[in-house]
Amino acid sequence: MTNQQTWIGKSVHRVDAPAKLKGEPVYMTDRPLENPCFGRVLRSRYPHARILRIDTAKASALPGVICVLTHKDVPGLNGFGIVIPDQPVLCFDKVRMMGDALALVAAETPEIAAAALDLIEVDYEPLPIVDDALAAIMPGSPLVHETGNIHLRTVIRRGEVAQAFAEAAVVVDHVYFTPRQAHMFLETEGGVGQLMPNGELHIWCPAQAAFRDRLQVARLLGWDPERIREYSSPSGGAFGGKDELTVQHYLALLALHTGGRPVKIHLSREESTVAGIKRHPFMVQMRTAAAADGTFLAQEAFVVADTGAYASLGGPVLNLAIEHIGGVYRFPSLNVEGYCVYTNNGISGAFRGFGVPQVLVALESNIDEIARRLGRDPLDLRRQNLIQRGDLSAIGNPMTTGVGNQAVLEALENSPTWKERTAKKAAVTDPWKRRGVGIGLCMQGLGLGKGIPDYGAAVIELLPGGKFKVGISIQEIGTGNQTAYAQFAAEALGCDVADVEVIQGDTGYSADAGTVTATRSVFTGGKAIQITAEKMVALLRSTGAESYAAAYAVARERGLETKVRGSFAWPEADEEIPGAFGLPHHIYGYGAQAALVEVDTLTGEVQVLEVASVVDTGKSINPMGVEGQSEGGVAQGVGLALMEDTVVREGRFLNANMSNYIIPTAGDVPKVETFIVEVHEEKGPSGAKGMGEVPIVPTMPAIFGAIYDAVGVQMFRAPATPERVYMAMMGDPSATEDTPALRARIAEGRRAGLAAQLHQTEGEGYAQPKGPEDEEA
Amino acid sequence: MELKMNVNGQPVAVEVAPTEPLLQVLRERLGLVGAKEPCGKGECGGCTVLMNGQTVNACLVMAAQAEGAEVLTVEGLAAPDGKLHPVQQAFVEAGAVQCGYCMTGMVMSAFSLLQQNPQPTEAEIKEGMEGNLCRCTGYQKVFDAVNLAAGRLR
Amino acid sequence: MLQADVPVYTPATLAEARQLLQEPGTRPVAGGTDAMVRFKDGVWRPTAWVNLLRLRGELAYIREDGDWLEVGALTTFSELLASRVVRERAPLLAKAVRTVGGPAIRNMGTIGGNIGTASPAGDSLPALYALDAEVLVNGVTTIGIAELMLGPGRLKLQAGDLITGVRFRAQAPDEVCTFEKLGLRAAHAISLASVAVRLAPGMARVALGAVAPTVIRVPDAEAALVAGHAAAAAAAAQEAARPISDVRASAEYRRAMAGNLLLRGLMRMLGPNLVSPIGGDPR
Repeated sequence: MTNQQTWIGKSVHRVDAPAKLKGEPVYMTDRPLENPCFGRVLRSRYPHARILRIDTAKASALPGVICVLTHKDVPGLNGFGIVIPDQPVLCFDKVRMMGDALALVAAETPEIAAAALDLIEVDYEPLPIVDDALAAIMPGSPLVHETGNIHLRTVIRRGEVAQAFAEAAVVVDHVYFTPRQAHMFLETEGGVGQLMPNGELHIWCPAQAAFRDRLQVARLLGWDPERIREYSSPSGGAFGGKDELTVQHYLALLALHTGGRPVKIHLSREESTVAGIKRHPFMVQMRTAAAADGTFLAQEAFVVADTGAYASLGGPVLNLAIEHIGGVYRFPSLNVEGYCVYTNNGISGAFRGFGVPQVLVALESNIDEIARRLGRDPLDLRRQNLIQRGDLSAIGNPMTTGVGNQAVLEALENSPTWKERTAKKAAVTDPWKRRGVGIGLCMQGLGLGKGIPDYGAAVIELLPGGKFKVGISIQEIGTGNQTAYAQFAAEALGCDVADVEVIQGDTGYSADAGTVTATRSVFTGGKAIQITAEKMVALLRSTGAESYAAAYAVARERGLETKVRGSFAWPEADEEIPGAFGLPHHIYGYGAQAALVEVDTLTGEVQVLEVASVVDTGKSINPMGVEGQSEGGVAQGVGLALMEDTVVREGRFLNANMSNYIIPTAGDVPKVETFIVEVHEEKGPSGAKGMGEVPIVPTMPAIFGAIYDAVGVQMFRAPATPERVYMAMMGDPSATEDTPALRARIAEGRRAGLAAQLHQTEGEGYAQPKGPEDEEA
Repeated sequence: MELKMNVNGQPVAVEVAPTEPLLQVLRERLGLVGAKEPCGKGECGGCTVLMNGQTVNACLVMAAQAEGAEVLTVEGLAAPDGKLHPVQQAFVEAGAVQCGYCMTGMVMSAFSLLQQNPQPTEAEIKEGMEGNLCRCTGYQKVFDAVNLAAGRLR
Repeated sequence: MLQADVPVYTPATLAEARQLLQEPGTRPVAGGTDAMVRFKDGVWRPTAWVNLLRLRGELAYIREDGDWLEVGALTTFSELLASRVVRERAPLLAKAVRTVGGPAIRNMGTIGGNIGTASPAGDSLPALYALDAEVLVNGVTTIGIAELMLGPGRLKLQAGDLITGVRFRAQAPDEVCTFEKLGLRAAHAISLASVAVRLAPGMARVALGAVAPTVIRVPDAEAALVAGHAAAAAAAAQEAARPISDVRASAEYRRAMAGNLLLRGLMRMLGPNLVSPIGGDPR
């Protein structure tokens, strides 16, 4: 054993890469199966309708069909959802979105299962559709849920807002819209369920929250969770899209009716798009005030997030967005009012960035305009207002942990993309093209936030020959945490990475360490492994052996337990933010980007040529992995900014496949240069924080700023498709949607939201935290 | 119908539906799950295999069209002792793998590209990989990997 | 009928293929890049497929015949791109084919399939229109490509007819050409609008893709170009476009792009100073 740092900070090759590259059956949807049958889900034919009748007789009679299940076959709670179980497992009274499930089929072949779906008769009575989140707030809107269309209203007020705006030298006020981005993980939702001979139910399904999934499945089956085992790692991409149950509930129900045969479901891309969660589309009206010397004075925002038919994580997404409404800047005054609203537009939930990209584009775009109006350099203006350690954030959170702002900004300033921007812009090739450079700065709260149980746990098992097995429930969804965990373990145990096998996502092997979300996996897993490793080291000492191999022999001889467990609780802020469940966070990741774009003035096409991506990781555990996350985050940000939107009209999906829902190809991504800034985080494992979400957050504002710099138009709606950019360049009045009519609707929405809040009786619906006393809106 | 092919150098004969996509034949009937089905419509390249020496999207090939074909899947690249093919090894070393789900298709495209063009330019690498979608990596380290492999195979 | 029960016939000769295709409800399949997608989506439900791949010996070729080039229907896009003859004597077709899909799609997809699918967004078609291509049917008769195309997915063919090739005059050494494609991303994109242009002294060809029910030629734009009026040509292209609005773009934008892509192509071919833009410089 050694205390020398040999593994932390080293670009260790991914331990999972060889098997994946060889095509070995490592994914849950690739498992070889003995005598399998195949499951399918009957989805709704209407975005909103009453269910009058479901008749499965013909489907059941089809040769090759093993079972057909409806809501009557859900033995426990017919509902699921991470925060509140408002989503039916199988619908019974009505459907609220096209992705709603009405029945399940298991059959001998996938095609027979599909044919059986066609034979299930459902009578619907279509209901009026709620397809606009702002309209959903208004009085008289049809109701998606009987409890009302407002899932959550959050209000935070600080300082003397009215006075600040009155005294401001510059006030910028715009309305921004962000799209319903789809995760488009390459491995669609799928997996296998099987009732095992010992009476246990096993589920193999790529996921992000194994223990919570198990609890949700147990609840709908009415089972003891201990009888259920979920294997959920690795995943072929997730990005938040597998945080909620995806098909585990269907697999569980079907597996109870297939006589012990494994039943497999693997969604087509189209079904995945229609039924799966998306990034919440936001409307953000943001009004920002600055003094003549550039000091930011006040921030006011009205935010509406479309969570679709069910809550999933809509409430926390809204609140994280609100927490970051002032970005990395000091705002002494704040007035933010946010709504998370039900509609019939599919369902929204967790997606990398978790609400922050949606509001940051508004903030950073407003700041660019302030800089222009004050004649200031945009980077310098930002520097002037940066939060320093010890400052309060916009929502009033004392920033007492490692604040990376200053270092991040300096790295951005020194990046070639920014430093050499004049030369790079002049190097335009075709005369009908224009180049520009823009920047965006961000922070991102790590972990689940104040008042939400957040903890880590791990097991380490000593194996013959002195090798180790590390068990942690947090999954490998592509981020590289399996390799990082091996590095943490090797470092703490003083062994080689090759001597550590990391088992993830198996509820039968490791303790609950929570989700792989919220940029928490390096912090959580790293810390848990370090704490657990201390116990393993103690075990070694107790044997008196010189090596782990010898220690194993001694331990066996003496009958000692060779598997040790450790856990810890996440640090959290001292004070909660009143009226905002889960706020504030305590530790933040920081990032900034500069983007160089080229705009074709004849078509509006925007090509992102290069991006300088700065990330404050705390201690960087695996720099090559950090670069990969940074490059990938930028690519997703490019998609978000320029091309991606799941188009839903009247509740129906218009681009559910990958030819119409487009993500960036090899030809669309910029050259990304990553600059790692390591602002030590005392509370983190080896000083690490985590960074997975950070790189997607500043990309959209950096690109929007660059488009402005190139052609002098501000984009207010993402994605900035060629058409939108072109129409804006042509001065088309419809390019800005910020009309008096929209402002009137916003005002009406504010009044209606307040009224709905006041009428809400206590204990009804989602336990809404009470906001501060509302003034007249 | 009975489909006869040569897969990774081995003759196979398997009972299939004639319209069944080659991808299903490989995955469900032959247990070769390296080729994936992320889109099923020829948009993503996740099912890329070589058929008669050229990359195809196996999700769009009818089984009957593969009759008599030489098929090379990612499982046929590594040495029998498990040693990675130089292209695969380059993907490991360049840090190109994240979730990895698209990477078998990427490897097959890279393998084919380098077979036809052992010294591709940066633009030719982009062109050679443009049919393979990745949602994790931003492609940069994929380009690095192809470059690295090209250097070694030269 | 379950898809698993749909038979696939693999004829060894053209005559056999034609006979099979006379059965109502049958459809030909070559590269499958369109056919298989439509089959999986349930859009095409043929009673039987006629797999043409065994006819490659007969129908995959690139032939020079004096001033003419003839391409067999089963020639893949990759084969076209790899062909020195095509690159040198039909560079417009090469430029257009380069924008089709990705490498694997180009390895599978055939020129005959692109014609047969008759999508206004088929990327080889504007080039073929601009080349005044004639389509060979059943190996014997020819029909002008514009005459063949009736609408999206609709061709002037009888049951049992099979597209066997396409022929056109080689481009002259002194002409310039370009294919401008606008999609929503750099590669693997469906055209929102596209323009194929050929120019030589006294000759101009302009064909627009994805802005009308079929690819269209724009004679007014061609006349304007012969007269040296770029802006008038672009205006004529916009005038001729009859685009639709869909999830990808509005009709209004597509119409504007029909002109602007032509301008962009002209600037690329002739240099920006030789072309006066319409719409002005946005700055």
